[in-house]
Amino acid sequence: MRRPLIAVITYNEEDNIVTTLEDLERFRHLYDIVVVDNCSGDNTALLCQERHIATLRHCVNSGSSFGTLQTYFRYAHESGYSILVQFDGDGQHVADELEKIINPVSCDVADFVIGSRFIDKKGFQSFLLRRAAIKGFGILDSFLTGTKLTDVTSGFRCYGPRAIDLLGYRFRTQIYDPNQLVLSAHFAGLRIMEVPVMMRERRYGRSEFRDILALAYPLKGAVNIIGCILQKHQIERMARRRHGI
Amino acid sequence: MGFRIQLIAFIIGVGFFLMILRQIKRTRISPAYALMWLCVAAFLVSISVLEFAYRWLATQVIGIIDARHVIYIVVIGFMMILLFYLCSVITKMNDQIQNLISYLAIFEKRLDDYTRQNTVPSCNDKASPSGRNDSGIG
Repeated sequence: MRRPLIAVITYNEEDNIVTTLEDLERFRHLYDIVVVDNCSGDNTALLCQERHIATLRHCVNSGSSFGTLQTYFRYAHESGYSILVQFDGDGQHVADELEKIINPVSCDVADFVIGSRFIDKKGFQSFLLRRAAIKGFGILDSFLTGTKLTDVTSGFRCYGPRAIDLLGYRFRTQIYDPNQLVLSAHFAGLRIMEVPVMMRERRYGRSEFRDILALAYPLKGAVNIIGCILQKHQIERMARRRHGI
Repeated sequence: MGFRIQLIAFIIGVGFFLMILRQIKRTRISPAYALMWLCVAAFLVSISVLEFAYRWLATQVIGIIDARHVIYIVVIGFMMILLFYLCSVITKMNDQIQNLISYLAIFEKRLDDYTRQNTVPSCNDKASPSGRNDSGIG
């Protein structure tokens, strides 16, 4: 079995990427690392290549960080990885916490694990407006999935083999936000779990959620949830066809 | 509607029709869009030719007092359908582009790996036997 793959997603992170990779490289004997660069205009990809890290470079920026999911899912699927972790390149995620989110998948307790900063409330807790949106979506997604979820927008996620196959296949049509991802996973019959993790505040640069357009995020999220509920039977059918879940 | 305005509408309609056919011939417009615009051209021609029918439809069937409003309703309705259709086309294209972006990123990496593994040093890379720079440069 191949080692877990850590997919580091980046966009204009030349100030953060080196420290992120240094943090991850301490565990290079345990994990494979691939950087998915969403067409950065700076030296992000170059810095990764200089460190001999496999880099998948988007030739066009695909909008939000969610555009990178299809790439790393496809890469993991085609390369035969059975455990995949998304790790943000902005320095928010801590490599020491990797074990926590990989363990439930490697022990076959869960198919999809989300690292939540709101369970133990340690480290960076994000800004107020975003926290409120996360809380709202957490309640809604918990109700729809029957699993208590506190940090659905967390980018620190781990996927098992069934999740890689099903969500990778599902990503052939785009998934736009984390609610859609969580609900798709649930409707596909995947076991979702949240584990407490510690996160840091990004050192340099701005979060994509700081933009004025982020105010539309809750509305888009609501539309995505409705869309996903409407696609429920389609997703269930797809899961049955592929895995007999 | 006066005869002159009917004639102008007819000429514009026929001209529009011919313009669309020309674009189809030059493959500048896909058949799906061409069909929609042909319907618009047909509507423009029909306004001038079948004016009495529209008047009857507006006043007797739909119940619009001023028959001219039918034109506005049809035009606005058409625009809404067109926008909705274009939105769905854009969404589909967005999906396809996203697919291509991810495919290309992985393909590029595989190609890089392959090139690195199979790079054979070319003649120019070899040092000259005399140990001198024989290229004449520098």
